[in-house]
Amino acid sequence: MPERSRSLRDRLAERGIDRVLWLLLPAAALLGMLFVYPFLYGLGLSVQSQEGTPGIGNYLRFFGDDFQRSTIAKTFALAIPAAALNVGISIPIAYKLRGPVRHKRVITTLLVLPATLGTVLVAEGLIRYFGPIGWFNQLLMAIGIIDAPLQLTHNYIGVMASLIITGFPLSLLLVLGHASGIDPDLERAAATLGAGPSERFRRVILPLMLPGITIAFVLAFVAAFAVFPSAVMVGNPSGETRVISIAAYQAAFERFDYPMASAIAMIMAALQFAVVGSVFLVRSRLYRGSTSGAKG
Amino acid sequence: MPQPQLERLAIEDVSKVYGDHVALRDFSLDVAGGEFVALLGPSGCGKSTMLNCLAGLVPLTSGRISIDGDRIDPLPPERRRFGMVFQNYALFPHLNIGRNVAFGLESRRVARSEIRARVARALGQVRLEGLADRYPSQLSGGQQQRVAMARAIVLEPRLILMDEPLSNLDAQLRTELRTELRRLHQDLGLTTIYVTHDQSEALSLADRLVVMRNGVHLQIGTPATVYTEPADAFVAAFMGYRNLIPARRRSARDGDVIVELADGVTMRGVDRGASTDEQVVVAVRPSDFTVVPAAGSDDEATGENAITCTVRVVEYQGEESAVEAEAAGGLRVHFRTTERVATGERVAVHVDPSRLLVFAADA
Amino acid sequence: MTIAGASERPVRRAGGLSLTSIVLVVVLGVFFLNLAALILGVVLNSFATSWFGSLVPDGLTTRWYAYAADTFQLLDVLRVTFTVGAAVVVLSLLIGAPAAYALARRQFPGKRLVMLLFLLPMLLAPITYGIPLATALYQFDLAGSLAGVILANLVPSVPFVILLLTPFIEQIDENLERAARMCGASTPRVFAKILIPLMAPGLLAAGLLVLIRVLAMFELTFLTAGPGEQTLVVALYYTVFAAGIRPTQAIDAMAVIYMLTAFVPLLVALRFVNPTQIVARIKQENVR
Repeated sequence: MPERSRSLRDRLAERGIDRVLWLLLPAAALLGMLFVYPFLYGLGLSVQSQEGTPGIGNYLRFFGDDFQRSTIAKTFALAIPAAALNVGISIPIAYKLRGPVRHKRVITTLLVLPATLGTVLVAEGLIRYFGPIGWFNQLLMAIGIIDAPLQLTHNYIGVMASLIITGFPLSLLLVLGHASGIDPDLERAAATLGAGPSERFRRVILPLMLPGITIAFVLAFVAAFAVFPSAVMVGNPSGETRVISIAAYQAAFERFDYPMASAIAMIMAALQFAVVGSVFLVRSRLYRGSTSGAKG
Repeated sequence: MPQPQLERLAIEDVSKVYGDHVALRDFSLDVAGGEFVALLGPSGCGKSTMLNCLAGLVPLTSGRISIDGDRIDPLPPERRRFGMVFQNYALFPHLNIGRNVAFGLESRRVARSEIRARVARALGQVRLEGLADRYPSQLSGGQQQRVAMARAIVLEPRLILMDEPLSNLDAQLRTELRTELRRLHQDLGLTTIYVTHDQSEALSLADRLVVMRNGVHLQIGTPATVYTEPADAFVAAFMGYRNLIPARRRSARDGDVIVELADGVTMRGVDRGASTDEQVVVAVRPSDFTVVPAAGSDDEATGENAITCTVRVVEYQGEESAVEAEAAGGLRVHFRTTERVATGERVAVHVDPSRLLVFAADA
Repeated sequence: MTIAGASERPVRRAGGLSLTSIVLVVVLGVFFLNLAALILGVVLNSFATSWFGSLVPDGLTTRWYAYAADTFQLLDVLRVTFTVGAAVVVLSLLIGAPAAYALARRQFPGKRLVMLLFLLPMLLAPITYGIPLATALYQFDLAGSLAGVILANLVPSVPFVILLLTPFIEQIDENLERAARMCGASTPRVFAKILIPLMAPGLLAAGLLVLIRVLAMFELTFLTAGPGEQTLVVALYYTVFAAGIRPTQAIDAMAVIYMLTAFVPLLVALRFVNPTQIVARIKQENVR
């Protein structure tokens, strides 16, 4: 049949474009208005002064000021170890739990709890539990490991603890969810081909878990990067845990310097994209092919 | 032709129990080097459990497995030097075809130049030259199956285990690859244990068949023996004896028995272990019936070993037709014929007494 | 089963007790024990007459709950919390489900770009886009209003619903829709009689999970709410932040109430979904 006799609608439908796509419109419009537009608006705002003069003065001021610039290092000092730790512990546990294990449902259910509690509640609990007169210090003193209470809150340790309590279960669930989808025949195939347990883990299971591990790491990093309530509540928000989100918040809501706040938000976004992007880049070099079955 | 790497594989009294489910019960089998043995049975019969026990993927509950006198059942799978082809192929999705095939050689620390040569040779043997750089997801089902085969044979294993390797392929490809499997087995001097639920596959490939049910073997024999002389009614059903008719034993003479079918018709057949039972099952393959000229009325006898019936369904199958007909008393008879019969027509079908098998009823 | 002394074992099945298993059980055990102690400490303190430095409180009382309800306008806060929660759940389902349907059923040019748009809010910490979003909302006089809080919470919720429902809808056989049409059903009827009933478990799960996320979502609400639109989690933050002027027991009473509001939908949700789904279902849709 000649091309010309077919209607435009037919030809579009052939490429998957038809009325069903209108269903995407509300969601796309909403995100356009509430995510893309504010972002671009913030980007525009960030390259002008509070009086409206264009220029990259905000960025220069941020990077020129030691106190401000150091928030980047402080943020990374929390986010990278927290994400690495959370995912690192998750890998062997997920490897063990990936098959049919008794009480698996109970374990995963317990893991969801801290995630639903949220950072604010965990921070409040930590203030009590890790505090100088909290149970944790009481226990250590009772066993005789220490003589005086350890300073565990209102510093780096407190924030790190809160990041692990809220972040580790999330990481484990993500890695586990992915690892459970790995076809158990693949490990069996490796065994019949002569690979021992550690070789099977290294050459088959770990590479196949890698996509789940990268996603878990990225999400753990992003969650830890924006640490705000716990950095304020169980951290030392004017000292060692003055992370970049506190700097952004103070600029916006204490000094009402919206251009500066926007500039810091843009820097945060750029840093997150840089880390997320490089993680995916490393992964794509390490791994190809699909996750589970080999059926095409 | 290369010599098989083993003389005798002995499986002795192997049992496997999962909780209160007995998957295998005192299973014994001897396999000679170079043999192609098929384990055949419906799902849940224990054939895959037996294969997994052989591979070392599932520990035995009791029993022993040895090769030329050396026990292998305590060995982990990676120490057994077997090759295995999985039903879903289990190709490593993160490795390309070359690396998949090389996997076992790398585990054995074979020199890199030798790996390259052997991988190329194995891919050639399964006719996949030039695909080494592809990934499993880029291959068709048939090609994936060949990769799985190459990955197993490249190690020159002393025993090859195959778990329904063709069941995920379409009919035409299945027949084609069946021939190739048999060719590889012969050319490479392999010893093969093959699990399947498809009787035609087992019959055409194997030197010996093991028909299994509920964790035990019902019959072990050459394809011809199992096909023409099934051990019981279950094996007969599995081998295509589609007519399985409950009957009563009337008398016996010289290994022949006279049976009365449900509708009162008596027939003569071969006694296959039903000599003392009153209740028996009569088994006839559809192709063993021949259409004979029908006599006039219903009550009239149609000659020895013949049944008069009315044709109900005719399925055209090229040279032949498959016919379902109904005899007196609602008895259904299936037969194949090259003659043209029409629905509603009355015909008589005859079966030679040697092709009417009489089994005990409780099989 | 086998010869004594055979050191090799068949492929170890999960659940087998080995040294590594024990280590892992200990790690998980210590984690859960500390978590339980942390939560128990908060709960116990909320009932304590006074508790300072001893193993357990000196006495128990419920008066801090009455105190908290009074001092923190708890009823107002709860009303706001559930208004925001309900509105975000309903709106994100109404907006997200149709988009998920389109993504599940159609391959079209530019699909990856659309997917990226839906994924980005999940790959960025909320506070990153929350600050420009709050600034923009102030510009339109929407910040400091209930509408502003709801709009801000839709930003992560709508993508979450889409990512959760798309694979769910993909599992529904498209032939069911075709069969219904062959039986003479119109498009609205196909939706009402076939798709919505089949999607119901997914919609329910997605709705509950969105509710849980909204209840725990601190940053976006914090940045866009005025004093009258604080949800429970934000109110809790402020009371902790202003600690010193309030008894700690009252703060913890509030924390317990917050925990309860989060646990109820969680327990309901767990009846319908696998816990691993609660975290996020980004794995399949991820940037391939």
